[in-house]
Amino acid sequence: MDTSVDISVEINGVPVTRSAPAQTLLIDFLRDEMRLRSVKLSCDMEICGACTVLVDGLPMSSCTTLAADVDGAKVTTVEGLITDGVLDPLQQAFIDHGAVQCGFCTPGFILAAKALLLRNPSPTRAEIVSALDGNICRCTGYKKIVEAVRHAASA
Amino acid sequence: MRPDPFTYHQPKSLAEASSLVAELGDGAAFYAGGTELLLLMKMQLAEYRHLVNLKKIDGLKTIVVRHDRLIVGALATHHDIALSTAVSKHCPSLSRLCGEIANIRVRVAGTIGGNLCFAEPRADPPVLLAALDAVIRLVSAHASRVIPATEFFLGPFETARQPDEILTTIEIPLGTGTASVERMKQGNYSLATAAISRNDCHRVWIGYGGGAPKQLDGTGALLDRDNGCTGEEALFSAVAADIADLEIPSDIEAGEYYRRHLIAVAVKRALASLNGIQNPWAH
Ligand SMILES: Cc1cc2nc3c(=O)[nH]c(=O)nc-3n(C[C@H](O)[C@H](O)[C@H](O)COP(=O)(O)OP(=O)(O)OC[C@H]3O[C@@H](n4cnc5c(N)ncnc54)[C@H](O)[C@@H]3O)c2cc1C
Ligand code: FES
Ligand code: FES
Repeated sequence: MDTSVDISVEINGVPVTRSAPAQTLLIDFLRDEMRLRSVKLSCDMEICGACTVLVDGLPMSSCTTLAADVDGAKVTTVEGLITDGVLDPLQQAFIDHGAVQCGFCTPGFILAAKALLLRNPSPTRAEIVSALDGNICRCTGYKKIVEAVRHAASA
Repeated sequence: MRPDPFTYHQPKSLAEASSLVAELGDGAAFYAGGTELLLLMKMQLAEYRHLVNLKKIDGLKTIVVRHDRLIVGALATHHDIALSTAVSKHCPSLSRLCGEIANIRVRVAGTIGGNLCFAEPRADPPVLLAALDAVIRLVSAHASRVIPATEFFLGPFETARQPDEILTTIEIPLGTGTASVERMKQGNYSLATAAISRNDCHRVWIGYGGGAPKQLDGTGALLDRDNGCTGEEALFSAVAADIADLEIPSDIEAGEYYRRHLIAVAVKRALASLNGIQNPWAH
């Protein structure tokens, strides 16, 4: 049984070509093969959003996506939002607004917010809340997260 | 949780995909967004040695208006449908529904065809598509057929699809496009869904975790005296007895009494929003 697949993908702007078993999950590919440890595994069921990555600018649950299915795509993790050592305005806003406590959910929230701002650079508060309603945070109470995204959007 | 090893087939045509599943038999499944299938495989609730990816077949994502129909390709994701101008123009209820079910990540990966073929008893689109008189096209290597959405769903996780048949399009007659759909959401899924087409507001369709979408018959009696879609109170009282008679499961998500109440609320809201009333509790 031939179970391996070839995957050519651009990860955080860098082209990568690998062969991997077909059943490889995107989260394992990113964490173990690419050492991108911002991608977190939590619910493992497409509910919490801790494992969110952007695939061609859209948020996906890397816990329940085959690595084979990002062949030909552009994948972004929060590591890829930093340009020349400077944080993305969203990352900076999360720090400035105290939108981070334990930090486990943070990469997922930032990427979900990034996807929103790519599509809609000046969202209303309701649009922000709706874009983030698939991400779960057990610490912050969400208020500061929404404030941080509002601030980054208006900056 | 990790899935067991499998071979990933990536055919370029419908005939090739269908023949593969026919040849490989029980150990093979079509694969679209994987939001249901991969989850089952990770939990070891399903075991497939072969997955046949449908995403490399051209044309299965297309959304077009042709003659008197809105045709939605089965591989269109919920997100594609929510963003489609053709869908928001001709079938705003489907547009809204696909933009609000699950969460953004599931909407980006999950396809409408996968939602229908999985036939999860709590799913919302089957209920709306029944109310809209949609038909479903199934294609195998040798044949093609269309079947009304109302005949496609047989029960929980059970449809009229043969193992080697691929759902290719969902076809919605133009004109039934105005419908209302209301869902009572808990966690990730709906506990009750109600959908009513403006064309035929005497047919109230509901879903409540019990299996296939169900039509409430009571309003049939109103047909002679009330042909308009006004009078949601009269319409509701006509189906109240049907709702009281439903056999409703009590499960970990909702007791029977609570679920019956939510069905009534969903139906009231759907009737009210047909008449442009946003919040039926406001008066
Ligand atoms: C967290 C979460 C929340 C959700 N919330 C909701 C909700 O609120 N309302 C709702 O309605 N749904 C909800 N869903 C279900 C969601 O809509 C489906 O998971 C999704 O649409 C399935 O599509 P897929 O492409 O991922 O299917 P897959 O997982 O790829 O496939 C599902 C099944 O269909 C078969 N299949 C897929 N496509 C075809 C085809 N074209 N022809 C023949 N067979 C096919 C596969 O073999 C498999 O058996 C939720 C799911 C999750 C994970
Ligand atoms: S770990 Fe993937 S959504 Fe929770
Ligand atoms: S900061 Fe701890 S889960 Fe969000």
